[in-house]
Amino acid sequence: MDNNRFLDIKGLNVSFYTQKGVVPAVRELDLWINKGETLALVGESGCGKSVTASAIMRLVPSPPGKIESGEILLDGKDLLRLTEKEMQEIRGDRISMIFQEPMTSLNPVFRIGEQIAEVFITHYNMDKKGALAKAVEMLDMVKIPAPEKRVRDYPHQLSGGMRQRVMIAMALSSPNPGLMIADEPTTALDVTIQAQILDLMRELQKSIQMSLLLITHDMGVVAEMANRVAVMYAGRKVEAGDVYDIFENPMHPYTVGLLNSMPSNEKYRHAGRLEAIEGNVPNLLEIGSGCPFESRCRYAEPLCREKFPDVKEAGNGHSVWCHFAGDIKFI
Amino acid sequence: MNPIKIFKAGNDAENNAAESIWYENWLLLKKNRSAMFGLYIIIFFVFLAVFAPVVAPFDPYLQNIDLRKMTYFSWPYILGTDDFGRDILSRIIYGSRISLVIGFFAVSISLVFGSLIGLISGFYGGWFDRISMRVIDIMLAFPYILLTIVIVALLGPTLLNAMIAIGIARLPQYTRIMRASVLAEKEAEYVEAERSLGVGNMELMFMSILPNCLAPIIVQATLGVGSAIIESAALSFLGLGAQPPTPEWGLMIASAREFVSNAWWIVTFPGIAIVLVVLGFNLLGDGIRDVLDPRLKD
Amino acid sequence: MEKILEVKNLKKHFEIKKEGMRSSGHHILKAVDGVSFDVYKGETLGIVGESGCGKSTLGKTLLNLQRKTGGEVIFEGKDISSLSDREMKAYRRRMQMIFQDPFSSLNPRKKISYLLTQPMRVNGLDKEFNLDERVDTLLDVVGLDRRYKNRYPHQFSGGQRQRIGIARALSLRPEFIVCDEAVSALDVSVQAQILNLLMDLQQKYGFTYVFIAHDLAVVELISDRIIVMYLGRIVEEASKADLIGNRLHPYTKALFEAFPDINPRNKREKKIVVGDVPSPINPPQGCHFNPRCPNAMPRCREEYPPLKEIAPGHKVSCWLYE
Repeated sequence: MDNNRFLDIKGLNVSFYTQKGVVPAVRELDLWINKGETLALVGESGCGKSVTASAIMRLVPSPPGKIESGEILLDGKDLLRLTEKEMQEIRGDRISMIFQEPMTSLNPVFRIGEQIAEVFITHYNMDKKGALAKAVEMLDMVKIPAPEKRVRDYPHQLSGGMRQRVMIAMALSSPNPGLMIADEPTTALDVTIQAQILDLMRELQKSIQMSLLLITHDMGVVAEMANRVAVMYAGRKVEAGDVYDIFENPMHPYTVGLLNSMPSNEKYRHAGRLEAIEGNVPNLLEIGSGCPFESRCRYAEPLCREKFPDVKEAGNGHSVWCHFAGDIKFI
Repeated sequence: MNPIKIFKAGNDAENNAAESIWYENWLLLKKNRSAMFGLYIIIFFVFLAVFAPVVAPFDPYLQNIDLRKMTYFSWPYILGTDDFGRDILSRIIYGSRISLVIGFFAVSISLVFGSLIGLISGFYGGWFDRISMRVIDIMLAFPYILLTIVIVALLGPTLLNAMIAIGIARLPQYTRIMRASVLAEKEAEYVEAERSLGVGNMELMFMSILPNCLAPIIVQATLGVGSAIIESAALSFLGLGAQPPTPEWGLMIASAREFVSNAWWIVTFPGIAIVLVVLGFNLLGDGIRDVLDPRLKD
Repeated sequence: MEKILEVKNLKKHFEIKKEGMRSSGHHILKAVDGVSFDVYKGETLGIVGESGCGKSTLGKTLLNLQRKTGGEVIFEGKDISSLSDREMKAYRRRMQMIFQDPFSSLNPRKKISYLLTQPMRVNGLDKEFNLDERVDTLLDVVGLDRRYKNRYPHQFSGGQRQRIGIARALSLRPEFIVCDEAVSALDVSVQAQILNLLMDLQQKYGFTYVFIAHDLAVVELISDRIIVMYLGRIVEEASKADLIGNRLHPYTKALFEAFPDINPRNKREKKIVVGDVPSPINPPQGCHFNPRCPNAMPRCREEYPPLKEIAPGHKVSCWLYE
């Protein structure tokens, strides 16, 4: 089973050294993605999901950030041991990334056709004309209407949804697209456009057998896209498993709280108060060795404050990090 | 569960900390060594200025024809004497009074009036903005030492007029900076929020927006004190500022420049004083900028 | 039911400078283009739509924070949209707004106690209220510790700041509150707390809310009636039950279908609406939705359909229901 893993993260620790102290942004994270599958990394702001993505790309801003320890194996090769030059070859080739706001990752002074063509020129040694023709093809693939006209547009002339399509086209232009990391790819988009982009991503992923790491805070997007789900809270993975297990049989109080906080949850169909998680996300500077969710957990016991729980397995790859997983009856 | 218990969880450590942004910035500034060094230099000169009569060994105006151009370390004249036999050290100490007053006074003029014009222009826009910005454009079209000289020439060459001239000539910079920050700050949601609560224009402008626009102005003003000191020295050097026998540093350099080959210390020590004070304000200003606006760091 | 607010043919247009070096003159952006509806006392009216539909502009124009271009906003028999700033002041107390961004809607240089008492001071109510006591009460009401009053906004999390924003809006004891994307900047778990708080406050004090959001689920949860907007106009207005059970306008249907369900077994079948939201500067001729509409007819390209009541309280603007 292990050699089916395209990306395999083991014991990743990332910290940020700020003026106020050391922020443990990601702690002891294990995460893997099989070839061709979609893993959704879910959590709220500050849970470490975006830092994980930067760590995979080796783009954690340093200083203040630092990858303390761990392994990030891509097809068996540890990315953390590569030289910067070797890593550059992997970025944009084996791993590509799309962001929430595509405007920041597109260069505003170049036409989008030139920017896509650039990928073909660097990775395939194509001439400019051939590369531009390829760019048109790629825009067509991501269903941008009138691609031969659009290649001459500048980024600001496109709508948000179109720009995200361009980013996807660029990500897929590399010779060996193996993993796409999508960091909140539809958060800035309208719902109808979000649906289009999600559909497009799903379709393309199927046709080129690519792995997708989808980072999002939106459980609705997760339900729609993911094969497997990992839930993070305050730097720790607290629950992971198959999408159906996570949604239908959540075992960590935080996952349960998150699902209950969704106004689109079936049980609020006809009004009523939400079952909110009380309190606020803890300050990572003050987090102890215990379970990070302890301060907000209604089932917390003294033990939770002292010790971060060991993993509990519930079968089918469903793992939970909670001392009382399986013992709690959620109402 | 009771909400109070919950909210304590994340925040207990900073419970009694009613820290204003200014206080936090001060803590950050304290960690900046070069800014602190600059501050110590300034404090040192302020100390000299305040206690000049106590600190200075001699009367700065006291001439002694027998002891002209004594070299440095000729006891009791530590830094020597000038061509009239006056103690250079005492003159530098008294000179710090003048330089600091010039610096602060000139900067106050540009700070107060420049910011006020910028604030009103940015907040209201319209005809006031158009007229004031055109005037500022014209002022900025002059090389700025020339503008200062023109203003002094119009007002007459005295120390006070030099200060006023420096203040006026530097005013456009403050107006521009203030106007730009006000324009940005005006769009912030809190302004709209306060408007929706019935807050009037005056309170919005002076109580809400102004405090949020102070950061770049403070940086500018700190750096400005240093340059005002240099400029006043330059004006005095040209005979347009302080008049003899005032112990003004620029003037001291000017009146001794013919002896530079045989009595270099008469020119050099006031020069060092200028460099030190200006360095102090520049270091402090840069440090404040780093704290207030980290984006400008590199 | 008693009407608290009556909106009649409200318009808010903006002049936009034309882009490009050679072109001159202005485009007219019709952000709100002839909108009419009523708000009843004690209800929550949800306004939902995608970016550029004019929902935020509508909210600000309702409170006269932005000057209307045409139409009327009648509050207790008086057209408040034509009042001067001075005359408006008397109404400001009673109509409040809760803003989207809890990080920019509080002045960063002011302590919480200042922020919460400012509305009372500027409205000359500092004699009527004991300000200290009032701050304590307001903090209690929104579930914050009283000791927090001497702190500055940056010392709080997003959810706590939004509570402060709510406390400030409540400080003048308003009757009518516009919530403009009041929870969309918050994390899901905190969003739920704030929604609960808003619902509790309404129950306790009988507020009337106009709740503006792009998130369908949130609007659906909190509203009694819902208005769907598209490019400056109302396309459908209905009670919540009607909108869930019997939505009529093709755009409303598209919007609901596009919204991701949190049941992974309910993966949306591929029936999503095509195309981008057109620019509000130059909306399509006829019904604005016609280029994206699966049911478009020739007539839709020519005439804008009127908003027509086809069942009690259920209005739709579509030629299909003629």
